[in-house]
Amino acid sequence: MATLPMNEMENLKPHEDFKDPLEGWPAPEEQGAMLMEMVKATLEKRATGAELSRMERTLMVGTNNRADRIPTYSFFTDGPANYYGYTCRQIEKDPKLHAEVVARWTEEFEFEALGEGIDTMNSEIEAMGLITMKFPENAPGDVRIRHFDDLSDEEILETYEEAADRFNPFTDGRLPRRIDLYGHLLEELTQKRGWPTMAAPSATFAQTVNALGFKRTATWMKKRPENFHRAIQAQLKANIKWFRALKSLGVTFFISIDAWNAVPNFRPQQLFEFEKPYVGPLIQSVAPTPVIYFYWALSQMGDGKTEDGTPLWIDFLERSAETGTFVLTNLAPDYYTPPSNDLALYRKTCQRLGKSCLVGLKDEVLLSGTEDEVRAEVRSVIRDLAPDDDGCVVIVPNMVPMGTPKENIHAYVQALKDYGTYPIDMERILADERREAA
Amino acid sequence: MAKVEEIYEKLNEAVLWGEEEDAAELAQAALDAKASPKLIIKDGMSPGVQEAGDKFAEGEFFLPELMLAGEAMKAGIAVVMPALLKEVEEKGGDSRGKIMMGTVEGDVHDIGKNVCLALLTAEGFETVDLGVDNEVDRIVEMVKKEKPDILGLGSYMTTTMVQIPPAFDELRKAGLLDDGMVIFSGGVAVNRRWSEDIAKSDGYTDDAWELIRLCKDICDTPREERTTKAREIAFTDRSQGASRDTSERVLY
Repeated sequence: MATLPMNEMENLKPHEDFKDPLEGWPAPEEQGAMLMEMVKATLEKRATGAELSRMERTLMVGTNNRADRIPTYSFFTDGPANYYGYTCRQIEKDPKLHAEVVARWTEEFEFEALGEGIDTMNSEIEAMGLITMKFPENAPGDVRIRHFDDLSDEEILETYEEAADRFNPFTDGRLPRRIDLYGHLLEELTQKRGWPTMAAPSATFAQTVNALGFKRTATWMKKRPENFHRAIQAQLKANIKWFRALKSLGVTFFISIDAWNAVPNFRPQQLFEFEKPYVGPLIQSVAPTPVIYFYWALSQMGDGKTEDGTPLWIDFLERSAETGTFVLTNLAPDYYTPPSNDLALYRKTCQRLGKSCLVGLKDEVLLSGTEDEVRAEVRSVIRDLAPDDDGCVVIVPNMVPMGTPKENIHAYVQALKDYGTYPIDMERILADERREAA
Repeated sequence: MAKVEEIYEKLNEAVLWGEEEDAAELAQAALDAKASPKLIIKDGMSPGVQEAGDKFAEGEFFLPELMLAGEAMKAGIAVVMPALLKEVEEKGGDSRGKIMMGTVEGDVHDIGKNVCLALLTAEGFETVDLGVDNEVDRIVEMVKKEKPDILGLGSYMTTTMVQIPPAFDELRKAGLLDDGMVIFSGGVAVNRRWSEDIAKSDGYTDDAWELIRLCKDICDTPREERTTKAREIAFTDRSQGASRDTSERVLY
């Protein structure tokens, strides 16, 4: 077995053996019953017409119930850090400051929550000793050295399994700093303000691909599929430890960041075979805490249909639903690109599958559009989702790109309030469209 | 069918289907059959990788297939390259031009760059792979060392695109753009308008085949006229650029 150069890693604490932090917690069914009590109370509050809190709105999203208005969230903290005059590295190294930035951003722009994330994609596999990272002052950290590159297939698999067995997110690499960050987030957001705290760990598939490298991944999928399955099983074991560690801190819900689980990065069939089987166990490991699992590129499924006549993009949504995610996603450019631009069918499909539906707005409008264009984009999405009469609809920016004018973010949230408050006022939407067209 | 043509057919198939070992073996077989190294690339591998590109554009292939096709072609080229370089040396050198490509600091996404470099190599350009995650100092140092005709810097994230203009500025300050070296920016994070107005680059493309055409046109132009020519080709039709306009915004 190869020895990984773990000593190159920034270790904040000495390694200790992992002990499951959820041992002794109530059974998932019992936790679920408590959650349902809160849902019931929120539904009763909603029925009175009262404005829901950020936490209550999030509870509605997680259980596919309509909120008082369309909720919205934001992801990654590099942009917010810069917005408040800090570099990525300054906030990454200072969990208290990082938490303050999250709280300021959430408050100023009225998102229900902001998912933390500077070095999100790789910090777990760094802590496992599989890669060495590079940390630019004002950009997310990324892979500098992939330690598997010079190893044989068998060495990689043995090393991967050993690293997963050894992994302890409470002590390894720089993860103790993120544990510390979540402590501050829970204090700043949830305890002081009653807001939700969103955990943003990386996804199993993304980390496996990043640890192995895309070429080895593609080659194994084609020629040695059993190797990839062994590798991702090892990664899943490590990921479950990290997810359970975050849950034990008291986070409200999870998003699982994965930029690789998209077409055309992989064929849909490859995602079904090599990625999907490992999503369910991850989500189940923290049940009933809700986990969003994102997929991209519905539009790239093409116009084809399955043997039973189901459009391929709907078939993909159906398969995504089987993972246990609580939302199904239709992210830019899919929501405005055929065939997945049929938002009414998308919403209907989500409802049929019992999932909240989440549309990810295109970054370009926020970054470069005018306030009116931002407003028009939000309005057209709400119009196309109609009839939005049941279940939960969520609209988010795919991300808020660095350089986005703050006026556009305000315009975005204001448009959601104006057009996305229930009951949806379609007459107002159409009248505003007609007026602007004239 | 002549033996070499049969080998080309199999070699193109090996490239198309991303069979690295087969591509290397067949490239060697073509050399053993006395085929011209340049023709092995041009007729024995380029059609295969071009077909992979076409299949990708049509949605039949996905990135893994495209990447493996590029890797298979690289494996074949690695076999042919010594003979090709020897031939070029014997003829006094007739490379179409020297192209250097890499990604900027913080950016490790290299699939697009690798495909471009492989295609450029196959088209007879001398290519220098600057790699990924390049600090400005390294870019300047490598340009001084390699003296390319065209330098392409790529960014694939909005968080790293801001690293491109300072890199070009440093090259400008060091006088390395004075002798007609053309600078390109590319990658999914940037667009034509940003490339022209913010990065002050001489060219932009989001398509590997268009890049080859641009490189050919530029390298066929006298060195002192290349910058003007590149800008003329790449930026004349502003409508091709994406709608993002960051020219009046401060990137925070």
